[in-house]
Amino acid sequence: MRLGDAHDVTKETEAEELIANTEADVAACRVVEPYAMTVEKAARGLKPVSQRERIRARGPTVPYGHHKPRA
Amino acid sequence: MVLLKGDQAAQDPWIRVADEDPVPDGASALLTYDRWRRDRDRLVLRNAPLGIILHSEQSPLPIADDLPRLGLVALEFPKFTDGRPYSHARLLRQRLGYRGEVRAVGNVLRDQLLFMRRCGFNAFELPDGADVGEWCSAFDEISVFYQPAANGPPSAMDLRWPAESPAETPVSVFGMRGY
Amino acid sequence: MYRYDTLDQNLVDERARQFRGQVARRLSGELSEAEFRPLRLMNGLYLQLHAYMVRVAIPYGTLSADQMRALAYIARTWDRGYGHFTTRQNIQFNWPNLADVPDILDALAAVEMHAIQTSGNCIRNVTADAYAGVADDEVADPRVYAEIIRQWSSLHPEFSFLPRKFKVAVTGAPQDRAALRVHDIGLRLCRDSDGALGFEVMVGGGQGRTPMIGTTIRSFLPEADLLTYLEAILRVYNMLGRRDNLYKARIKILVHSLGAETFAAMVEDEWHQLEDTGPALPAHEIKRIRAFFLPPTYEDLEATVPEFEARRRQDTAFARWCQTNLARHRRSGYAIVDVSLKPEGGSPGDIMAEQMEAVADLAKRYSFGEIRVTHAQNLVLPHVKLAELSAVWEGLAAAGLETPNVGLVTDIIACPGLDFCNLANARSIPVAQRIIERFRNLDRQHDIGELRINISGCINACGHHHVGHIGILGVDRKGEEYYQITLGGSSDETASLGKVVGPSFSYDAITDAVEVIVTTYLAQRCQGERFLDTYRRVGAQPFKEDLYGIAQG
Repeated sequence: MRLGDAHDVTKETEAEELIANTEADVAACRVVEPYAMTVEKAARGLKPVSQRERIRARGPTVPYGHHKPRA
Repeated sequence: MVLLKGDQAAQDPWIRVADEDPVPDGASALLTYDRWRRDRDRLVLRNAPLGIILHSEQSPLPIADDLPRLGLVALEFPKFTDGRPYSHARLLRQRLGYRGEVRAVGNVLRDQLLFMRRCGFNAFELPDGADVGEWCSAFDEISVFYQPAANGPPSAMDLRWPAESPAETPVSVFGMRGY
Repeated sequence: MYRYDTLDQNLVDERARQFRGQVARRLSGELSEAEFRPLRLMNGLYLQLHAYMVRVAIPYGTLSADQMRALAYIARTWDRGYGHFTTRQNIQFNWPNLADVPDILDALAAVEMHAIQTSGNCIRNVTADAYAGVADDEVADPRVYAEIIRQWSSLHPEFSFLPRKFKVAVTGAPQDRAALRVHDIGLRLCRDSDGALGFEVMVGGGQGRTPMIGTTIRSFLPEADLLTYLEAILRVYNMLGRRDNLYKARIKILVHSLGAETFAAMVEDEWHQLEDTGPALPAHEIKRIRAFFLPPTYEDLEATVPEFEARRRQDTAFARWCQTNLARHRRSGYAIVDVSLKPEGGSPGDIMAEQMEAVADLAKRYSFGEIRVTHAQNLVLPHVKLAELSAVWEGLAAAGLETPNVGLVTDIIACPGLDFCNLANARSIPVAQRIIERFRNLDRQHDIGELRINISGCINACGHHHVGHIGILGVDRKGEEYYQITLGGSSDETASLGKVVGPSFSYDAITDAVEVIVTTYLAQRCQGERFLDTYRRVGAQPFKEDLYGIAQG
């Protein structure tokens, strides 16, 4: 699951509805603790507003193990 | 509610009496600490079993003198994360020498039964529909206990140093994995 | 080192089996995440920003070479080829699959390790002086008592649901390398006037949102009374500690609100009543445990070794490393070797599986198979012959582990921060990396001398910023990362909490700010003063002036 697959909505109630729709995935252990995040529409798609969500979406900003971060 | 006593389902003879209700004659009555304090003078004259339920912030020390009259002390876990009743159970058993039933009520979880029993609880109120056999298997998951306890099998210290062994040689055998 | 007997082994095996059942119940959907959470938290399994994280206990920071190899195996098999050593002498694996965690616990159990009580509101893995048993200023070996406490606190039926987590640290030396004064309980081994062994007992230290320096509530506790006294402290805390507010639930708040004297009196009262029913600690049990920590069979060696001295004179790189990465061993002819995990470009405390194996091999060959983890997120080879230091250094260099910076400005303590942690407000690792890069010049580092920089990505203070000489705390300002600086903290026997120097700095400005502080120190210092000495003498004012300009200072 990637940010590019995300649904974006503008109303709080729509966000609640999206989360409610994940119930089956939660029950089947495909998803753990879903929540909505705030995004803005950038040229190349959706961009999370908070640094936390940007890092969650793109991975750590530092190298770890043999892994190098995406530029 | 399913009542577990020792490791078996049991009938519950106790009637929980709300503070404003009359105490039923001739039946085992489980009262709050506040009710007990308020009506103690009358209640001691009663000729049927009495029990007290203590909320997690209520220490059993104030009822120390009443313990010989009590057939049940129920300790309530409002949330499983509230660990005060564990200390209260040990105080009841080990400091106050109470031998009657100590029952865990409230948010009782399967994976905490072993800790509770070790602290001296001998009865447990399980949620409706609980599979008693399955819950009791939690008692067998861990067999080694480092701490002396109010209840149950001997501690690691007791096993390593049984009373009759000379103090120089610990008993347990070293099961080293060769590394 | 302590070795498990069948009882210890059974407990860890049973616990791993129990968790395997719990994971199966979770994966089948029988347990929800909400129901599973308390169970996984009792086994060191967190849900982090990207994945689950397993925190493995390294009791009192002592590892055997074979245990280190097992950690390397776990890193390579079930994680991404590395591990992260923490300020609590533990190791964390950041990328395991939930379904693999039971196998990880089995692999740990096979080398007498576990993840029990590395999370949750219980007595956490006990920490100790990383130089235990080898420090030349030691009164007695703290590992003996740390192991006794490990056993007593493991699955303690009464104290597994405390108001909040509970951390105990032990040292046997007057020089405090275990940060006793910022632990819930700090224990310092000492002798009374008759020469009997006991403890100074400190309570109520801690960091986080409300940092406090612990208070001594008993200047001498006989060793035989250790467990009953701990039980008394924990019982008073369990019954009276606040449970209505997460941020006021640590024992430091209870000690502070009651007053240390009142708290001490309550503990003494509880302790006297526990005499008969508390956990006894007979002399023969202390003797049994002590036998595991007897010194290895050292050789009788000269205090000076000509080849070693010669290489130090001829080889600058080797000499540099010796200057910072060696500590005095209690035995003549031996040294304690610190292995820095703070190379340029690395993440503080991170180590690759191959490096773990290299350290394990060196330990086996040159250090009686023993390794320690320090609270500064470095490793230690505790007993290396002076004559073999060259070989050890070359071995470390071959694995990229010869960074000569222990105790210097680039030996930075940092939590994982926002790159990995769910709780963080800001990143820690790239800030550490930028500072390390800025001060990469070794001559300059040596000129600056002993300086501790500690970075935490949030107020929980896992990077111990309150006790850094320079502390850096990440804060969130409308989604942007900012960093607040504290000065003058220390976790040693002169423990103090750093004071906020002024308004916080942006991610791009924080490295410059640190450099300004260091430059101010260099301008202000007198002959022989460390950063902390200068700060304590001149106070915050000169630093404020240079950081913010005189107008705002």
